[in-house]
Amino acid sequence: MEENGIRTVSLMNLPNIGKIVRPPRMIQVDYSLGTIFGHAGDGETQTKILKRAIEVALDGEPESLLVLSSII
Amino acid sequence: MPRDGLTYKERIRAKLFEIQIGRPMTKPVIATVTKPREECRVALITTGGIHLKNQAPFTPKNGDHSFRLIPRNTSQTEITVTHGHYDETDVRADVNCLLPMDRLEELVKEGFVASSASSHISFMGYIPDVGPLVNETAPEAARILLEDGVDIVVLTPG
Repeated sequence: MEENGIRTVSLMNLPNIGKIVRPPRMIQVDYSLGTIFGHAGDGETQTKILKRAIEVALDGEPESLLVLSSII
Repeated sequence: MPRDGLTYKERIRAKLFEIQIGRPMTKPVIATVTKPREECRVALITTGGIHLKNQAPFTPKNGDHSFRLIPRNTSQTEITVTHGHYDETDVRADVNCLLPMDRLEELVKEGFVASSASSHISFMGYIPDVGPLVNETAPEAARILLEDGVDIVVLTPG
């Protein structure tokens, strides 16, 4: 993606995997697989996380690892 | 439940993934920002095994490197999940837990971003042999998004 000019951000709940895979930008979330953006029906949390993810995709430093709870 | 929100099964699986992946990958390529957020088109990619009910299901048992296109504005009733390696309860009730398409459309309406991709992309995250993913399907997915004029991709695990 990035080779073709598309900025990316990866939400991950396994930061040790992230450090090995080395995506351009990472946000560590403390939710289980299946609820990465929050639980069913929780539109407010889903929106908050999505907005922040989009911002980090544009503003995040290379190979940055941000913890979600510290950025929303 | 561990304090980090992961189940014990997920933590064990994570450790196995670490061992399987092995040494760190090479330094990533970084794309240059060419436009402000309000002019960007955004796509979502998940490995949560989400697909339309009328699409072929993934084959989680032995791994599957294929992907499905999820058109923008697909409704919850058209969606199902084939994965089996995580608790699918929430995403079966609300796809936005993993692929926040509705939330993205709301952000488009309010001008936070310019538009959403014509289709979002879903993989199934159990891929023991990543060769075909790296060499075939991931480049194909990137090509589709590039042709659609996507500027930003948000990737979520599953």
